[in-house]
Amino acid sequence: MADAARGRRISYRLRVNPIRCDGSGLCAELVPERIRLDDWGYPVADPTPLGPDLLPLAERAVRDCPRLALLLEIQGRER
Amino acid sequence: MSAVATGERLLAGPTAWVAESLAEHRRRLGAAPAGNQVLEAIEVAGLRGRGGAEFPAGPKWRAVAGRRGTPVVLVNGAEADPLSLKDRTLLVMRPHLVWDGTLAAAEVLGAAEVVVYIGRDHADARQAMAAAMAERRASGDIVRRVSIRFVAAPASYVAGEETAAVRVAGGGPPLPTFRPPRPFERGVRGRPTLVHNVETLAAAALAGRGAGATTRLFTLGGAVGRPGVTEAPIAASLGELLERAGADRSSAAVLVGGCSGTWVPLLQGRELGLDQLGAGCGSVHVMEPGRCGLAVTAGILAFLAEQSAGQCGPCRVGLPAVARVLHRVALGGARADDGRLLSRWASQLSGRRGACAHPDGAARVLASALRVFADDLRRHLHRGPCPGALDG
Ligand SMILES: Cc1cc2nc3c(=O)[nH]c(=O)nc-3n(C[C@H](O)[C@H](O)[C@H](O)COP(=O)(O)O)c2cc1C
Ligand code: SF4
Repeated sequence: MADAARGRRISYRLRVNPIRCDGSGLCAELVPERIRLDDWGYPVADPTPLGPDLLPLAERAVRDCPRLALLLEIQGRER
Repeated sequence: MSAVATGERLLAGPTAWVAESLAEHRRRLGAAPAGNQVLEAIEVAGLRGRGGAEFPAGPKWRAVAGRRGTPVVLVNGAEADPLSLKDRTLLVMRPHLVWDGTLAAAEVLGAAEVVVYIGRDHADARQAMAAAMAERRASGDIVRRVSIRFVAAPASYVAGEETAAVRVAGGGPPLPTFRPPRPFERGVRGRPTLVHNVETLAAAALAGRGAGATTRLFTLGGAVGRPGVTEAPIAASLGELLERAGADRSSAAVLVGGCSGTWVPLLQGRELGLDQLGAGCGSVHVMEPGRCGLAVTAGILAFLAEQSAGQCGPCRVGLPAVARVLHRVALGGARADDGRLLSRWASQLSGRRGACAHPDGAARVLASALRVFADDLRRHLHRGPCPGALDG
């Protein structure tokens, strides 16, 4: 997927599904460059597209989120 | 007010609080325009939604038309904001105009179902729409292939949000869903669904008759001599509207766009166009003179917090936190850095932090209050509550 992202120059960004999220904070540890926690411990996703350096970490955060509350959005679409 | 020919207005015609009959409606405005004619007209006129978000209507119709599956049209008359009355007024007085727009949309999209979603407590609005449909059936001119279903909107703020409406229409609870999928992708029972505010549909019916989309409805309230619903040009200035409302000139501020709207200072705001301000649901509420804007906003935040659907952390936890701090700032017990805390939270709660835009709305009214009532805020933080906060 990272290769596809580079090759086709499509961009990815992280989004939080706030209904699923219970604020475990794992994502903020894995991708602090794009996820901060608010004063109540819930993640705020920075919509800046993920570069090839961050994409693998973001994918891992998506995979490892205990609530499956993170998603990678491709050019406005989710996957 | 700039002149608008009366035939081009949503509320032109009889002024009584009763439905205009089908015969009167047809005599005044002629036959209903065809669906494709309406779609073209709303695109040319650049019609935008009147339910709050002001999204362009034409692209929304096209998006639904571009999906596979038989569409549904959901007529949103929930009107959940306590500061808005214009949807009820329109439904009671001009049900046929709303039906013209609704059936045009159903026709051009090939919809199989129309869901009429009206506030549970707005019985007169629901009756007017039902009676108007019965009148059409009796006169034999209804689109036969469309089934029409009335669904009562629960009396909660968030029930008017489009994904909550879609869910209630499918037999579910009045709780918003995460997007995607958006209603145009998967709406009522999984079908592509066009959700429009009732006024947007009525405006579409007028646009389809060649009238453009030049006016909109406003609900005038608060410290005004003439409260109620009025129709004015979309770009009318706030001053023009306040004039018409007979607003108390000694009031400090006006809340534009309902409970999740924007505070505007009365002195500097008069020249601003309501289109620039973003009129949202069209409510223009003048603060009682002498009242404290912080105290009023604390009340609004308490309401919005209580109305949270409680599904999303930032909304469930953040809104009550804001309400609590704003309450102590307004009424006593403020801490030194409460001002900083509130600005910080206003920014943390904006930017799609919830599944729906409820937290964004709360953040908007909070941020505008911190801006417009900045002097009051400083005084409250240094000297405690003002008299206007305590005698509310
Ligand atoms: C918390 C919340 C409450 C809402 N309540 C209403 C409502 O009562 N009536 C309404 O028409 N739109 C309401 N909306 C806006 C709808 O989600 C949607 O944008 C609108 O019905 C679309 O119609 P329009 O494009 O014709 O404005 C609400 C939105 C939010 C976030
Ligand atoms: S943002 Fe608030 S009101 Fe909207 S779905 Fe989430 S909890 Fe409910």
